[in-house]
Amino acid sequence: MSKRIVYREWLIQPERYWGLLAILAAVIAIGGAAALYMEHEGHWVTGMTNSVVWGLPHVFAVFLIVAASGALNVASIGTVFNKPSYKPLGRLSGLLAAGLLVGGLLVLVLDLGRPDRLLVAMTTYNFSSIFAWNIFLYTGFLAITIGYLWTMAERKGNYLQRPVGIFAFLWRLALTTGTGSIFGFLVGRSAYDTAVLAPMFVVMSFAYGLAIYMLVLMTSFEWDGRPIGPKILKRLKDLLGLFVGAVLYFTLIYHLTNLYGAKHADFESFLLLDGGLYTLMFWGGWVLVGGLLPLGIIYHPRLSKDRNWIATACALVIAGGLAAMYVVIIGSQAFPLEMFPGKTVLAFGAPGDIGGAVAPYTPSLPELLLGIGGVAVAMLIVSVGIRVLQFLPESLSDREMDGLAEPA
Amino acid sequence: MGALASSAAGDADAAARTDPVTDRHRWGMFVDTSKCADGCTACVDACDQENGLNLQSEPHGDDEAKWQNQRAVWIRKVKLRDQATGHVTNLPLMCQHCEHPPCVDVCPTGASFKRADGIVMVDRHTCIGCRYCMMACPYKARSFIHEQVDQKLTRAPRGMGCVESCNLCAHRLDTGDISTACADACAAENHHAIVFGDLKDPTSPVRQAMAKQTSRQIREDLELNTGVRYAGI
Amino acid sequence: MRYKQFTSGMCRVTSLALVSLALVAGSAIVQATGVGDFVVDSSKAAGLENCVEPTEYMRRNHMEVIRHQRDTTVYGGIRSTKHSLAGCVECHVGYDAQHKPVGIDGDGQFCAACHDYAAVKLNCFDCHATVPQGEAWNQVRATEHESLLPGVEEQADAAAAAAAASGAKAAAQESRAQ
Repeated sequence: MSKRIVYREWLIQPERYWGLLAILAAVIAIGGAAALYMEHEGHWVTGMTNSVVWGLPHVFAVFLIVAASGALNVASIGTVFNKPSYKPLGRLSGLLAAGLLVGGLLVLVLDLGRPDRLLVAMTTYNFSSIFAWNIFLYTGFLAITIGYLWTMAERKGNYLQRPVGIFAFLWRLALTTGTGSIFGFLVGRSAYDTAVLAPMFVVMSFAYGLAIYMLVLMTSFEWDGRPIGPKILKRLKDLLGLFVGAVLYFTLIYHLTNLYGAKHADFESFLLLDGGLYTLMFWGGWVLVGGLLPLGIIYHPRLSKDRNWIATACALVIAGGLAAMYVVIIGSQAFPLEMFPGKTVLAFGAPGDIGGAVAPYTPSLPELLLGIGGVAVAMLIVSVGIRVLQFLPESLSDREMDGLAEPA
Repeated sequence: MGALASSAAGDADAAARTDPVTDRHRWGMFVDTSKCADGCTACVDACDQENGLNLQSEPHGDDEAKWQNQRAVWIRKVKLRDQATGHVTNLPLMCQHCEHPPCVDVCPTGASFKRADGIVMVDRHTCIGCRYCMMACPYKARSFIHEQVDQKLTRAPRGMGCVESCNLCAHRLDTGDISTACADACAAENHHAIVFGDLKDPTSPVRQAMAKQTSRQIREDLELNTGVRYAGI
Repeated sequence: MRYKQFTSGMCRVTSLALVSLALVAGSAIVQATGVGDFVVDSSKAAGLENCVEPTEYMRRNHMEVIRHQRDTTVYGGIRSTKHSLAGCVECHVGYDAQHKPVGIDGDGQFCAACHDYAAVKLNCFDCHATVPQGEAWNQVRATEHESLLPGVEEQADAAAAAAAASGAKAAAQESRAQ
């Protein structure tokens, strides 16, 4: 007879809880003020230009949205792939996915030139635009996740859990493919002109979503004194290792594809060799911090058993993920559009106008604050959610997990 | 001049458009780069004047170099050197008014659109300023309005937070004036590098110019069928 | 039960009082300002009997009229001036003592005065000019370039000859006419 999983609200001391909420609210308020400032003054106060049109807010927004779909994976593994030991992790997975998505979307919307016209975006659609499709994918994802959470939490809805779970899983694949395709079909830009971007985004979402999930899980359990057994932790970190490895593999494929297509060789040499900050971000951030270092920790015989090191690996994956987004989104805009093959651009417009040369971009403080504000929104949603509703299982100790593993 | 002005008053109303534009015309340009003079910016200046871009001012406190990349530019002079031969070419670069414009494909609200007569433009009433069209454009033709616009012209409304680009002086075309500010200015300098007209009319000046010389599209590999063609690149 | 009825009765009385208070206050304001006083004396409109449509119709429907014109202009290229925003501005803009036009969205000016009164946000002038400026683009040039309109090519020579008198632009004209 399989054990029933007991879920409990987050029971940390009120001072600690309200303190956390106050900090998050303050961070959100600062982010909101930064957005207001940018909207009021105009985008000239940011580092963005007509060359680099999407800046740091997009790095955060795309990262959060991609991670959101990845965070739902844990629930999918439980219900879709029927792994009993993942079942108790499902509820938090759904909540985190919804939170990350809301945070990411807020950042995206507040970075628009006319955020006041959001209603226009919601009522006027151009269905040949992947962006327009994404609006449906995102809102749909939110709705499905909430429905999914209901099937997990309400006994009357339990029988729907699997079909809804499968639907949610397919939807999240579509969502990340859609997000990747925002970039993947920009034929004019060397960096983006490849279909590999979409599957690469899917794999990235697995890794980043799981890394965030593990950090949130470990932190919330730690604060509340709930046990996480070594077994479930080992499963999760092994899975993370697999995803991080897959990201590295797709990164390799991405660059090989670009190198194979001879016309993109210039972009590759920019990214891999002489792109300055972007080269550093690629090798140091994307590959080393976000890939090799965490892999080293995860498969290290001793470090891989230490919770703090596992948490460090998760943090490194997240940092590397942000670096990867920075390279994908900003590096490829900084690289000049190649309009005149075989020709050197001597002048492009008035002096100072950028064409045929690498465009400068320095992120400004308001952009950073807006991005961090989005992260805080996600964390606030999760904190309030686990506090007022029964999202967290009481225990993930090995004994508890062994009980689950038995056939029902 | 007096005679001309009086006849103008008489005919102007007749020329102003009363029916919606149709696809009977497709407006476009032919640029003979061999006639485009080094150091001449007449077309750029004329465009700035015509569309009120000369009224832009650097926001107080902005970085000078950054502002040069933030201010709106609809047409720019580009100077190229052939890597093999060393041959130097000058040309004006603006929105290429593609038949299959990537900016229109990607716009989530449909604000970026192609008018029936082939002009690719932005409906500023529905543009939300997402800048996806700027990501998609292979020609860097579009500009985002980064700052508050204090001074604007009646014929060329523009404001903060939207994307804009060359619209082939649509306001002229709509009142029966088959010309653009840049082409006029180029001709006034006696260079005649830019010829404007109806690509669908075999007798139009632009078609006649194209019949005499081979011309190419920039980024021909993308098969966008641009409305602006260049000779000598 | 009785208590409940009592309180709900009280509520009704209070809300009635509030509504009538609001009505009194509202009519006082209306009387003080007087609808229709928003037309600025120094504007061209002040000397005219009617707007482009009956005044009463324009008061209620000007936004629909402008929006309709907006789409026909942007997508259809029809810039007939009867319902165009440029026309509104030209006719309704006020002038200061130096005969300089004052922005129509300025304090107390035609658009702003009424929109402030009605507390309706106005964002036409985020992009549109608030004074007639740079609008004389159609009249003269339209005929200068008449010859190039498809179907009137036969007149090109005559037009070019006429244009030759008008200086710089003539050069462009001729080359195209040839």
